[in-house]
Amino acid sequence: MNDYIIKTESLNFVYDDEDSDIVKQATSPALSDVSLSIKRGEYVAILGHNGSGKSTFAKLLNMILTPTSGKIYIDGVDITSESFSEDDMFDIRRKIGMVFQNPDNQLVATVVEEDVAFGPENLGLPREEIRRRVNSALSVVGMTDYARHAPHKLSGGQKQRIAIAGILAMKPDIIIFDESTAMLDPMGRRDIVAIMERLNREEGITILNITHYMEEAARADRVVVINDGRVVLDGSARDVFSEVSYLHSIGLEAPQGNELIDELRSAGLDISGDGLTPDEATETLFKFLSRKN
Amino acid sequence: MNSILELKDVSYVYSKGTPFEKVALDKVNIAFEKGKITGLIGHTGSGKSTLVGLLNGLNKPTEGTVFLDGVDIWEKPKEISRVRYRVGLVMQYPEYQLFDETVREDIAFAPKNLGLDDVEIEARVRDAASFAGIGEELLDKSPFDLSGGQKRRAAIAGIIAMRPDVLVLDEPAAGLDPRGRSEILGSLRKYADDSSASVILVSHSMEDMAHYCDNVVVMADGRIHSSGTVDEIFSVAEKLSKIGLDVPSVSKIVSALAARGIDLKGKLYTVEGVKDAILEYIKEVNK
Repeated sequence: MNDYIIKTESLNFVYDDEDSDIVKQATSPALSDVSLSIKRGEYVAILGHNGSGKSTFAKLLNMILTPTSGKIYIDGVDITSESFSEDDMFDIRRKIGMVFQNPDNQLVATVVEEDVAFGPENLGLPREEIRRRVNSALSVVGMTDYARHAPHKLSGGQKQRIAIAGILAMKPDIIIFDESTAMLDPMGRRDIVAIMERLNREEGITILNITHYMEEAARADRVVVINDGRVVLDGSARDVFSEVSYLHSIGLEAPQGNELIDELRSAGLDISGDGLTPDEATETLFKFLSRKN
Repeated sequence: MNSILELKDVSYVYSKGTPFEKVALDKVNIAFEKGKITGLIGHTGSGKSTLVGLLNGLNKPTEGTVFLDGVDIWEKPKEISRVRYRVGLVMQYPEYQLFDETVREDIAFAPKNLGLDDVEIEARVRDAASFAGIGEELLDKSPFDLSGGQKRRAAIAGIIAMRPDVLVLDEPAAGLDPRGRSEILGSLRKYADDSSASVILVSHSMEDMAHYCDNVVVMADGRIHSSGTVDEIFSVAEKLSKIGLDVPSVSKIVSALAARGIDLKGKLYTVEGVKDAILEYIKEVNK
């Protein structure tokens, strides 16, 4: 067992010129000099504006993209080394699951349980083991009752839960959520975040949540902010979201509670405390205002 | 009231007369005003997508009438496509619908189909691009070379180029970062103000609704749950929580403070509004 489940050293990435979809980035590195270590079992949010390079980072970890230079270690294995073979890659991909943004693009089968079984079937596992894994994965995401339903009739949030079950059936160490809640309604979003957190706490799975929702990021143990391909902030949610004016300068925000307290401070009030969650903001403001009374 | 689009007793039933019959909208009455941004909220299955489809004639009401400028849009069913030039609909993720070689051509597509002359088309493309925040330098680029936020704005410009009297947008800011969101939503404010069009915004983001809309319509179970100004709707935030909708985080803070005896007054649903309310509260206490 390696302490750091993910470790990158001076990671650089430049998009291929032929990749016409992303011409804008062709001239500037999409990632430069990213050195980041993530411990087993950590719950990390990754923030950055559109085009900051945060999704590139995720795709490098899962080997959808290959770095231009630098090192990536997954569970101690150097996936950028010359001797890294295709068999090794298969192994690594099984360790890292990815949930993408669009719930409609990730499901392959016409019945929910077949979709979840797709991964383990490809591992060539025995039938009973596949059955066990599918049942357990569906139960973890609360979709057992839908095992024989057609995925296309489910809501966006339910489809994302099936996508997560499909990944769980592979018994991954890490799950990367790449803006997985962006297309969901508030209820769907809450469901997915709750599942993320349960997987982290109860199953010990390392979670990377790439998101635009500050309130969502504020729930993570650690927040990494990427701007123009570089890591510009890395720390606890509390520390990162106290940098309100810096976040604004790179096109991001803090949770509304912190924004409010920051505005009040700018207006000359001497408030101590944070407002990472509505509860905490209430507490901070209540203390301040009742002292005034 | 200066309304442009009005629904009278509109019902919509899916698969009518079959065992799968489902009433999606039940006798809905609603009017949309010129120059105003109306937010349409309600969770999945509340009937808001069905309603959006009725506004520009994609869906035909099972019962009731949709009036555009006082005229029943289904009076001459063969001419329903004319309604679609006057009621522009920007669907979710409209950037996937860009298709032309240059941004300019893409934006010009609808005006061309309106049969306008070249000078007018060019003027409309420029206007629409400027409303949507697409710079001159981007017009000759391929739409596929733009960033995500720029693509979204180009697609919106394509609808604005029709100069619609009513502009309906389904989650126009979904998936964008905070700066991208404020750029797009700010440009809609400008379009509503400058062209006195009625803008209808479908969104799950209560923060955005509170910040950019004049009026809000809340849908639940195929009916209008409540409607009114932003002030009226968000001042009773608890009612929204009850039907499973989110309220802006600052409103949660305000309610929690009220429960502990700190009553704030004012526009208690934006960061700016709550800040002012707190400063006011302190002034009162210190008197």
